[in-house]
Amino acid sequence: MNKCDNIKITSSDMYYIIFGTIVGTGILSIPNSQVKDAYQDGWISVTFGALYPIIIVFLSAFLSKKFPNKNILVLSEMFLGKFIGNIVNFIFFTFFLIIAILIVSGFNNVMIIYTTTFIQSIEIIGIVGILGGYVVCKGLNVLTKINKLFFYANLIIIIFLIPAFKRGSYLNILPMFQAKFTDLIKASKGTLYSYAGAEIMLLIGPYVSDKNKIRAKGFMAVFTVTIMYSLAVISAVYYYGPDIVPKSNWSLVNVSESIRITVINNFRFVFASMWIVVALKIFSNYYYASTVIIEHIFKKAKREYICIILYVVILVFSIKFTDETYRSGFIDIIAPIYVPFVLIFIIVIVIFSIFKAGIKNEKK
Amino acid sequence: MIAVKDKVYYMIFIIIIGYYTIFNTYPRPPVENLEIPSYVSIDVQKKETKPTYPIGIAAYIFEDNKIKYTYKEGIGKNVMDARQKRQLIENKEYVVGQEKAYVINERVAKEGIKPFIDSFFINNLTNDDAVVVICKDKASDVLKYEMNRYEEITDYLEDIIKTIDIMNFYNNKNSLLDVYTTLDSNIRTLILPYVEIKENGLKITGISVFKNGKMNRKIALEESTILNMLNENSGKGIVTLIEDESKKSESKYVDMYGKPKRKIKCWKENDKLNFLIEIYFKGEVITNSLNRDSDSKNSAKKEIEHMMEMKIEDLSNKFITKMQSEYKIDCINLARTAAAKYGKDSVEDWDKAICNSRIYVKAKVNITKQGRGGY
Repeated sequence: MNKCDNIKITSSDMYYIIFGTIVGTGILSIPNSQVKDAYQDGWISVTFGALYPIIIVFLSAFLSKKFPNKNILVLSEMFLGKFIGNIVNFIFFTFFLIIAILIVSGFNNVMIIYTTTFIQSIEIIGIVGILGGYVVCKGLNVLTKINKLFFYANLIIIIFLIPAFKRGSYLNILPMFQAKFTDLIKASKGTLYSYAGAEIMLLIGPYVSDKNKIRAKGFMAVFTVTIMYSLAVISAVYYYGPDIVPKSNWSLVNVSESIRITVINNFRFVFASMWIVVALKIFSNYYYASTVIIEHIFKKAKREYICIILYVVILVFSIKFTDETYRSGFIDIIAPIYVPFVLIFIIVIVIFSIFKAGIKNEKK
Repeated sequence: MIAVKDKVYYMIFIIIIGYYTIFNTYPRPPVENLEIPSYVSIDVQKKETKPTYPIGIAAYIFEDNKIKYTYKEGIGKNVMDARQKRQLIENKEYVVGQEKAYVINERVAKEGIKPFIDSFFINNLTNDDAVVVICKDKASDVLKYEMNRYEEITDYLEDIIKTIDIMNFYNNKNSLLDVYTTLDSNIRTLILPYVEIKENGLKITGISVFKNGKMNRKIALEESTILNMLNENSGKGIVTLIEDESKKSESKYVDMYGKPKRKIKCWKENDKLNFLIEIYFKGEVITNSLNRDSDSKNSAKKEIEHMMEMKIEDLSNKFITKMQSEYKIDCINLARTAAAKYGKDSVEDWDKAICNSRIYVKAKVNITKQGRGGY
C-alpha cells in the first residue's frame, strides 16, 4: 500500500465516506424516475432500492471482519489467482471510473442549465477534475475530512426543501399505497444507479480502526441516504403533484423555488449552485477508489501519475456525456450490467473466503 | 515549507484564476446597452390563414443617467418567432429572466395558453415568480397604459396583483409557478385574475377560470368573491350582513373582515359523490349598526355569528347551484379531495362528477375582535 495511506480512520469517518459516495447530484432527478411508475407512492419505491446497498454493506462487513487487513483487491488475487484476479479487479476499476465520469458530466449538465450557462462544459469538468485530483493525491486523510465537512453541507441543502411543505398540499401525496407492487418494483429499478457507491467500503475497510462497528455504521449510512431520497421524492410530489413532477428534468431544483427571499430574485440559482460541494465530494470518492485499484494492479506506478492519467481519461470521456439524453440512456444500459457483476464478484469472494479461508490464513 | 507537489497545484490555480480575470473571456456589456424587461404582453391577430401573435415587451432602459420605459413588439407564429422578429427593431441586448408580469389577451387564453407556458418553462432563466393576468382588450394597451400614465418608474400592475389577497378573498397564487402546477392537472382548476382598462384606469374586474389549458369563462367580481371564499388558499375579505335587503335606505348591517379556511369531507353514496364543505370564518367585526349589544352580551354575539353563518351558507349554496347547472366546471377544486381519497383514475370526467354530486356547505363563524366600541 502507498505510504500516504498508512493511516487509520474511525468507523464514523467511514459513515461519512459511504454517505458521500452514494449521494450526489443524481438526487435532483430521483423524483422523476420514481413518479413515472409509482406516481404518488414514489417515496415508497425509492426505499426498496436500499436493498442493494444493504447487501453490499452486509457482505463487505463480513469480509472485513474475516480479513481485517486485506481489501477486496488482495482477496480476489488470493482466491482467483493473479491473472484472473487482476482482470476482475480491472473490471471493478472501470465500475468506479465510469461512475466518476457520469457524475462529473451529470454535474456539468445541471450547472449549464441552471447556473453557469455561459461557461463551456470543458471548463466546468476540467476544474472539478483538478479539485478532485488534488483531494485524491492528498490521500484518505483529506478525503475523510472533505466527506465529513460536506456531509453537513449536504444536510443544510436538504433543509432548504422543507419550505415546500408549507406551500404544497398533502392532497398531492394521497391516496397512499395505491400503486401495484409490480409498479413499485419497476420504479425502484431506476434507483440502482443512485444507490451505487457503498462498494467503496470494500476498499477502505482495512483502514477502519474499530472493526466491530463497521456493519452498524454502514447500515446507518444507507439508512440516512434512504431517508434523504425519500424526503426528496416526497417534497417534490407534495409540492407539484405526481402529474407535474416529470415535466422538469431536475424536479428537485424546481422545488427550491418555494423559498422566497426578498433580495434574491430566484432561489433556484442559489440552490443549484449549492450542489457544487456535493458533486465535488462524490466525484473525489470515486476518483479515489479508481486510483486505489489502479495502484494495486500496477504496483510500481506513483499515485500522482495515475491521477494525471485518470484525469485525462475522465476529461475526454465526460465531454462525450454532456448530452443528457445520451447520458441517461447510457446509465439505463450500464447499471443493470455492472450491478450484478459487482454483486456476483463480492459473493464469489465471500464463498471462497468461507471455504478457503482456513488454509490461506495459516500460510500468512 | 510547501511541498513541490503542492506548488504545482497552486500554480495551476493561479494560472486559471488569472486567465479568467485578466483575459475576461465572457463579454460583459455595460448597463446602457441592456434592456431589462418588466412586462410581456401576448395578443393574437386573426387573419384568414393561421393566427399570428404580437408579443410586446415593456422594458427598462438606462439612458442619460435615467431609467426609462420602452415598448417594443414583434409579431410571429409563436413566442420565439416573435422574439426573433422583435430583434429586428431592437437596439439593445435583451436580458431574459427579469419579467414581472405576463399579460395575456382573453382571445389567446381561450385558444389555449399551454404553448406559451411551455416556452416559458423550458427556458432556464425565466423568472417563475412573475404574475400572470388575463385582460379583456389588447394586452399591449395594458403595457402602454402604464407607460403613458406614469413618468416615474412604477410597477402598478404587478403591485395590484401582489396585494390582491387583502380583500375580496382573492388568493395570491397567480405566479407562473402556480400556473405550472395547476394548468396541466385534470383535478385542479387554474384561476387567474382578469383585468380591464376602464375609464378611470386599470382595474381587476373578476377572475378567469381555466380548464384543460384553455380559458373557459370569466366570472364577475360579485360571484368571484364567493368562489374565492369557497376555494382553497383564499385570502382575506369582507362579508356583509344586511338586516333587511329589500329596504333601500337606513338598513342596519354588520361587516366582518377575516380569512376563511375550508375543510372538505368526501364520501360516496350509491356511487354518487357527496361533499361537505366546512368553512371556518374567523375574523373581526369592522362595522356594526345592527346590534351593539354584542359587545356586552354573549347571546347577541352568538346571534350575529349565527346570522353570519346563515348568510355565508346561503351565498355559497346559490353559487354552487349555479356552478353545477350553468358553469359545469369544478371551480372550487373539490375533485382534488375526492381524488386523494378514491384515486385519480376512479372517475373519468371529474367536472361531470362534481356537477352531479351533492355538495353541502356548513359555515362556522367566530368573532375574535369587535373594535373599540360603537358610536
